[in-house]
Amino acid sequence: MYQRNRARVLFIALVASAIVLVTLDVRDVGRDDAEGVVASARSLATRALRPFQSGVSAIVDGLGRTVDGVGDLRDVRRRNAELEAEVAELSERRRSVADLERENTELRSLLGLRDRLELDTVAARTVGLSPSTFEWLITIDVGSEHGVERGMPVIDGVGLVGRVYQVTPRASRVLLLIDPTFSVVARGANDGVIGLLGGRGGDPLLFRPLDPRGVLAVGSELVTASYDGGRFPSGIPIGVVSEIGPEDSRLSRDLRVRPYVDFSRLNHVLVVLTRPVDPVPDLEGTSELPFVRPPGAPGLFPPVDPDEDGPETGDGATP
Amino acid sequence: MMRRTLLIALVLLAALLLQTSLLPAVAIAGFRPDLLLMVTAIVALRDGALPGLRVGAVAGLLTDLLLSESHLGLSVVTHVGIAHVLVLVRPYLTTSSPFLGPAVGFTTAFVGTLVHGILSILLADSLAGAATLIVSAVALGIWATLLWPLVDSALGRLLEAVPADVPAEAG
Repeated sequence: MYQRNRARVLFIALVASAIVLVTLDVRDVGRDDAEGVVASARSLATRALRPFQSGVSAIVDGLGRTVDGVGDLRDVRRRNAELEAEVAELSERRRSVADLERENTELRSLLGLRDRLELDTVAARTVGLSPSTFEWLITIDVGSEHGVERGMPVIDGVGLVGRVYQVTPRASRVLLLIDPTFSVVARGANDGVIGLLGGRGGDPLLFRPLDPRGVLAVGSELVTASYDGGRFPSGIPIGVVSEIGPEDSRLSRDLRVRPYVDFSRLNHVLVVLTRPVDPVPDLEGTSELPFVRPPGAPGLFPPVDPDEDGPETGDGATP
Repeated sequence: MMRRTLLIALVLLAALLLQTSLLPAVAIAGFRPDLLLMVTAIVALRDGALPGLRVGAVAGLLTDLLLSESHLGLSVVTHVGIAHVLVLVRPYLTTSSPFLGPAVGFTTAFVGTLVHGILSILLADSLAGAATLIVSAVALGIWATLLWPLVDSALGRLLEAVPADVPAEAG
């Protein structure tokens, strides 16, 4: 109770004191006297507090600068990220230009080879690689709708790539030259040695001359021969002989051939729109054909009997 | 008792320095929290009527001398009045809800600002309109709501570290 009464007394006293202060202040304002009691008290309090304020202000300013520094750091980091993104974008553009230049060169070489060989071709873009480890195939974006047929040769700007293996209306799969199941008749570009060239699942290729005595020197160029029923136009570059193997039991040598084509970078190719020649009937089927004696020395061949059918054997020849 | 008085004096000085140096830098739309009023309210709630009234008188006087351009004594009336009212209602603030402190802080700042503004207007010391006065009261109330847990916790630890010789009366 005592405490409560003291609190009431104190409260009343403080409020009364405050009212006195307000009255004094109002009187000071009315006197237009800058040196009144209240003004003096305020000035004194301000001067007394100033040193402490200066110290705290210095600390706060330091903190403010630190906070500003943190803010600047964030800004610097943001700016740094922007610049890095810009550099990445410019690098990407530079790479794009380089890619376009490479593509341009590739397409020019494609056109050059096509014009040089006078081939009827259709351009294609590689859109897929074989997922298999044991097949060397690529997928191209042209198919039967573009005139592509199974077996057609595929080339790029430097040489033979492979042959069309599977055809769909708008895409085809190409068996690459390096596939172990691929084979093509090839010949030496300089000396015309004919042989069978096949893939081995990678570099180099294997070339076996048909004539065991046929010899090609290291560095000799191999091109396609049209012996394969005309399926492969003659003269498409394949590669160069890189190594000559030892003589085997048949006295022939296997030659290692380094292909011109880089099979790891096939982007644009040409499908050669050639068709093989019509198949020739087997010899067994020629018995029904009439024999026509060619004009020439009568002493070498018997005279032709119009009523006689069947092949001329020459046994009944009249000298 | 002396240590306690010294502690309260240092707390008031620190609050005054923060009020004049730091808080202007964090003012939002020109409104900054009234730390001295919060200290008055917290001491009144924790220590009771006499300490609350004393702290309120000193805090009000400091506010009038250094922080306010209004007539000397208006803030004294406001702070003392707030302390007295808080001591009166303190027995009824029995809930342990964590929202009680911020609610008391908001009410204290809102009422204190409103009373001070009304007195200033009555004494022709302020030309602020009613809308400005209410906005100011709400803004300071929000500030007090946000800062109350921090200030109450810090000041409570200090007061517990230097206990009063006389037990706090119930009001």
